[in-house]
Amino acid sequence: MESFKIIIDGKECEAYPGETVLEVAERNGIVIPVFCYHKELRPEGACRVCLVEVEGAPRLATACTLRAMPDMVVKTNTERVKKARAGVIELILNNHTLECPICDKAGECELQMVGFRYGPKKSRYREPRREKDIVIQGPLIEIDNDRCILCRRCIRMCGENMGNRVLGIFNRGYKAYISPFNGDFLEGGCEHCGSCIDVCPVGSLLDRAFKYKDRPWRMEKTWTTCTLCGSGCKMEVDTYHGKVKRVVGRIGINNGHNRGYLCVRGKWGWDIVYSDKRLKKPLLKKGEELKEISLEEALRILKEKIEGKEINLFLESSLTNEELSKLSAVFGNTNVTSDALTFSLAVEGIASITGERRTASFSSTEKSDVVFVIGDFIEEVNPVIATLLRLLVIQKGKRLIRVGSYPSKLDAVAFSSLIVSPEEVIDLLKHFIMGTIDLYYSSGDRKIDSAAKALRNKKVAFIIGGTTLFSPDIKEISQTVAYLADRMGNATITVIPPKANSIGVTKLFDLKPPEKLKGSVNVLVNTELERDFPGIELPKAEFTVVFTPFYTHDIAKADLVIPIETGVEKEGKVEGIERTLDLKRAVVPKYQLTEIISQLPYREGSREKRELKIKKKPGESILSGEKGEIYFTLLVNRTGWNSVSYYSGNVAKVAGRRELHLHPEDAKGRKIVTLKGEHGELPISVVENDSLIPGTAVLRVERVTRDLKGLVKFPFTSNFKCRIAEE
Amino acid sequence: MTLEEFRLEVKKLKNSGKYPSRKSYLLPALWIAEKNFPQINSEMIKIIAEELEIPLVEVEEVARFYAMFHTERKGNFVIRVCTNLSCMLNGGEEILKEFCRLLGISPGETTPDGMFTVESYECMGLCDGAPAVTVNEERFSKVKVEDVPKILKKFGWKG
Repeated sequence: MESFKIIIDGKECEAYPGETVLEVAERNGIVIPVFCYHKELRPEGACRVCLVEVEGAPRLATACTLRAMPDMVVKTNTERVKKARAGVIELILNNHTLECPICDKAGECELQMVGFRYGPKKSRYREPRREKDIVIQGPLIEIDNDRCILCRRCIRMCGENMGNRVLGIFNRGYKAYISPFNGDFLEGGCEHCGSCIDVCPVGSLLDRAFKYKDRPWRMEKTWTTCTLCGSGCKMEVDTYHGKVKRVVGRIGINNGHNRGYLCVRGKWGWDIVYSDKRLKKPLLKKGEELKEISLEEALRILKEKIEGKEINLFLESSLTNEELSKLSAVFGNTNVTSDALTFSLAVEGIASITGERRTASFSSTEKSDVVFVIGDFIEEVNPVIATLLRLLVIQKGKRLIRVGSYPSKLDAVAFSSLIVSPEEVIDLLKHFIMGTIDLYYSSGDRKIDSAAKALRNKKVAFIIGGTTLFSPDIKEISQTVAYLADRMGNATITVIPPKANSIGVTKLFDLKPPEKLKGSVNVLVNTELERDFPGIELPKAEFTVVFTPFYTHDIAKADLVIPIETGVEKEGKVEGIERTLDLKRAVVPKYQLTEIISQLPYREGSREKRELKIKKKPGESILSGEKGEIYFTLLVNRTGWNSVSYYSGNVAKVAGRRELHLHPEDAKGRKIVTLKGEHGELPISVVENDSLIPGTAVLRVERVTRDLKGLVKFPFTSNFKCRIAEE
Repeated sequence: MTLEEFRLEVKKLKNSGKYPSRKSYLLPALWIAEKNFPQINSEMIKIIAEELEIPLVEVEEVARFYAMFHTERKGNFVIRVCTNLSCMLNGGEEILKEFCRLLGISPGETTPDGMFTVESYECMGLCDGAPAVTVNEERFSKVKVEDVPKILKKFGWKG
């Protein structure tokens, strides 16, 4: 694009077509005060505090909505502008309660700052201040409407950027106030991402977990990475005297790939560190009881028991690279299983075409024209990635095509969303292989043809993620996608890791299914068997060691339990979706896994180089259903992923429910059904959902518990087959 | 009207094909609720939001924004007295006061028996007949203070 010159305050600035005066000024270091404008949001022009004078224009104009035009001469600091600006601030302050001493926002409040810099010295108003006295308290978010200046940032954030539209303005004019539907966040469908709190320029939207807890200016700020899913969001952890007070994303300031967007787990899941289920001391089994012992003793016993033995290593993939490399040095890296097994299958599938066990970073989507998503429920597994995909469409104007078997929130912004039965996903992708290259190919479905046409001669970023990663077909799907990308050229493939360091685990270890482990000592690190390896029994062994931050069900099976750190206590690096991400310790834990492991003897590694067979052909679906069988996807709710709601008191307040979503054709009006799997049954309440396609069902759970054992079997928890018992 | 009947009405409206987009059916749907129920409550808002596939809060926003929709309980007869310029100059405020005095309530309130709601209103476009009063959808022009009891009696006032 060709740039042109505009003059702001006598300074010649370069501007590009479509830019607003405010954007140009910001880039050139000229400060214009704002309230309703936010970098991440659509400009609104509601607060009028960014008024500037334009030469030749009769009236002052709002810089946030004024498009820059060639030879424009803008003044931001004339007497006229200053007076108007002070007047606007005077009007806003007149009806703003001055509760700064007890307001949680004090110190980082934009109204305070703008008022301090540009505000009037005193108010001319004699009228009493408007008292709305409407405080809306949700489980985690509170709206104090007396402080609100009606800039609508929260509404735009919620409705447009996050796509939820939970907050709205009720009544009008003088009486207007912000509220969710019926004054109830949960009823209104709030996802508790906390973005509204982040963008609020005043202390109107509050984090209830932080309310009256501390003052923003005296807390220590640590930038770290969230490890509660594979999005790897950068976030700021605020601590005071070694205690975590809150987590903030800082939308607009954050330079991580998540740009400050967080989800309920990242924003409120920090208190897993202070969970009452935390393990305090190492435990040793003596007879039938577990006795507390010292760490030295535990290490001595551990050294003795693992010496010369083959070890079955069960890994959870939220561990850092440092921890993983130490674990592989001490316990070996070939007799290992992990919940990243399906992720490694996806990478294998891609590697069988490209010859490289690598996936592109998320930023490859920025350079593409079309984003092609293959995945279901990305918004539940990696909520922030779903938000970023949404923003690619609404902010950057990219086209998004989604292929999946279940409806998704992304469909609302998708150029085309193709929802087919799990068996047909690969066939659908094959239509694309033909359609993108052969101009005259017709799949017989107009929707597929138009989507394939949109891919033709475009730079495409393929994204595989969500629960599709846990489908038995995943290797075949990723192979087909890689084949498609290979044929198109000019395309990248990103697999969204489900856990923080799935990529690191796949790189460092040769993962095996748990049945193939042949060691005599079980070592479980950071895992919960039921959650990470559903339907799997622990192999028989002489000795079982559990490294865990919490009291889990596995402790009953353990001979030795050693506590480790979790959440914001972690330090190190992880291989995230956007290359290597840094973790900084916000709180110092008592027990550190790396320290414990480095006291154990290293063993000689014997890792063979894994061979890669390159076969350039698309995959074939291995799914086949019989009549009466339904494809189920076990979906752990957004709040329950990584057991966050189980350990975090904050997140537990907004935890979802366990329910079965069935198409009305399959539900047949029943309220409760019994699911029959290969090894067991499960009675469960039904929600009719006509957005599903018949023959598929979603089993939503908050936590994977023992009673699901008969239905799902690790590693495939999506698209498994069940029958519904006829009553 | 029960809520089930209301849902059917909204469905009928949605399928009538009168308007180009789904959102356009929102105001007519709210009018059905306003006419058939003493107040528009969250149940009706949920039904409208479900049927028209509009976010819940958007429906509530619209219902709360327009003064002619009652999200608070209203009486059987809503008396609207204009107090805008022409009506005020011709004594609209006295008429409002008279209504309030006779019914023993202040503007915006409902009588305890649930019969009447009195509202001080903005211009209804009846300036030629100022001062103007409407009761539900019936209009009264050039109302004098003496007429007020007559108007009330017409709608079953027993005072």
